[in-house]
Amino acid sequence: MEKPIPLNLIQQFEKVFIDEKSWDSAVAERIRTYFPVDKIERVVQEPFVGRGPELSPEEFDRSKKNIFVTTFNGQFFKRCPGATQKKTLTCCNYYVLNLGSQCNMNCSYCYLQSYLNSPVMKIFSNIDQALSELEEMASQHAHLPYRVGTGEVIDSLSMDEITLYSRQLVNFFKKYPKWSLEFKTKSDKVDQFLDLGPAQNVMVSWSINPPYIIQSEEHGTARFEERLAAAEKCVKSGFSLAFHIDPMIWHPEWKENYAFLIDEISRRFTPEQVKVISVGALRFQPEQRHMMRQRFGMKSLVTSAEMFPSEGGKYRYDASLRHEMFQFVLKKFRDHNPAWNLFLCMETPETWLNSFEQTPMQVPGLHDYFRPLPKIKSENSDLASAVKI
Amino acid sequence: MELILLNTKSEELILDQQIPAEDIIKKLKLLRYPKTLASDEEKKNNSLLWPTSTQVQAQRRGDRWGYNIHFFVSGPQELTKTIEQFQKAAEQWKNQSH
Ligand code: SF4
Repeated sequence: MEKPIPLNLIQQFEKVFIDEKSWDSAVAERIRTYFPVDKIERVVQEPFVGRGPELSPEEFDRSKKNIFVTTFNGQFFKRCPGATQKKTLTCCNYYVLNLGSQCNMNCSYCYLQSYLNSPVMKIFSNIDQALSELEEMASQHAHLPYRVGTGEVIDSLSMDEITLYSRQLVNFFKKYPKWSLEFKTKSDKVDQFLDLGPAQNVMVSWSINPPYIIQSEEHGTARFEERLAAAEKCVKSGFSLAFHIDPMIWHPEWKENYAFLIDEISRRFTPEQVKVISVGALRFQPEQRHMMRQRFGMKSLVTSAEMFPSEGGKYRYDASLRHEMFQFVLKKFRDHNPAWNLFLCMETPETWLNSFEQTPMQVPGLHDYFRPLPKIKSENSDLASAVKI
Repeated sequence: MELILLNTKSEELILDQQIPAEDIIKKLKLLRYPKTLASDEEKKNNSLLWPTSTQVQAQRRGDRWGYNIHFFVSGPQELTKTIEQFQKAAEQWKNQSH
């Protein structure tokens, strides 16, 4: 029997607007079964329309509390946006499948603050279309190591007790063992798919920070211990893991706190269980500063950080401080075990060379992540439209 | 505005009209980026032995601190010698940062 939607999740939302096109979808039916009737409204268009082009801080906050179940009318399966900034960033082969947008948690540094302009959290009801896109792609390239993630503009699992999309995706990826799926989360919501394991090509990954940073900057997320406990359950059920120590946030006790985090991961997991550990430092778009200041004040370690414009436009810490932070993490992990598979996320080639003395393609264990793969249909059509213009 | 929100003391933010604009900007930057600018100053003090024909200026460009170097050579031997001296400076820099 399907697991019900927990009450504490239902209580987070003021309203669920269901597009009439999605009214009979499986996810809408589930919402109609478990949410109180007065929270549900059937609509013919996106609610809260008629605003300016950007969200105000109040509108952004409201968008986290209101769900809009609708269909997605476009290509679901896309290349990770980092890969389109090839000149300035060293990026891995990664594809994203967006089954919704916005997040019910509230991290001070969240890039969605400068990325989203929709006044509601969206859940796309047409997952079947997403799966058929994947099926078409997999039928041509089942033998190649495509990596697909669902956590680009929505946390992969924090809303999964509502959608149960993880179950359909795990079942799909089990048919294509060369392909891998990543659920990227800061929640501890894994129970709803554990029975489908083992599935070693399904990687459940946690963005993780020391407890002090989780407490001060990652509001509404699962605590440090809850995330690691959920990761242990995934290992037991036969899923693989990844950790993203990202964004590292500087604070006076950063060395002690990140050392604790690394010691805990090393004590509780092995490099065989954890396919990859990525490391990245705080960064954000300049336009995001105002929204963060208004939403979190200047007491936050993020808004008060000493950040500078970098090549590519994002604000980052001083390059030598980043280098020191990365070196610290890499060394600490390697002191525990040289077999940990580590890489830097969204960093410039200079930082890679300073930290590894190699480019990612030359680092053993990372070759598959960075070697070029055939373009997918949407990339080819982007190219075609670029040529037409 | 960030300095006000960071609770910087108002005495520190009252700026003398007589001070040149460049110095005012320097003072405000010091208040907003104290840690980074202190470390930049420290690095400036670790002077390196540059080739004699060069003009070197330490500077911050966005998220990177480094040296802006100008030099002039009038022949291949001079160029080779300058490159050798640069290599020595690079070694010295490497040792300083370890
Ligand atoms: S969990 Fe991720 S998507 Fe959600 S608020 Fe935090 S950074 Fe943003």
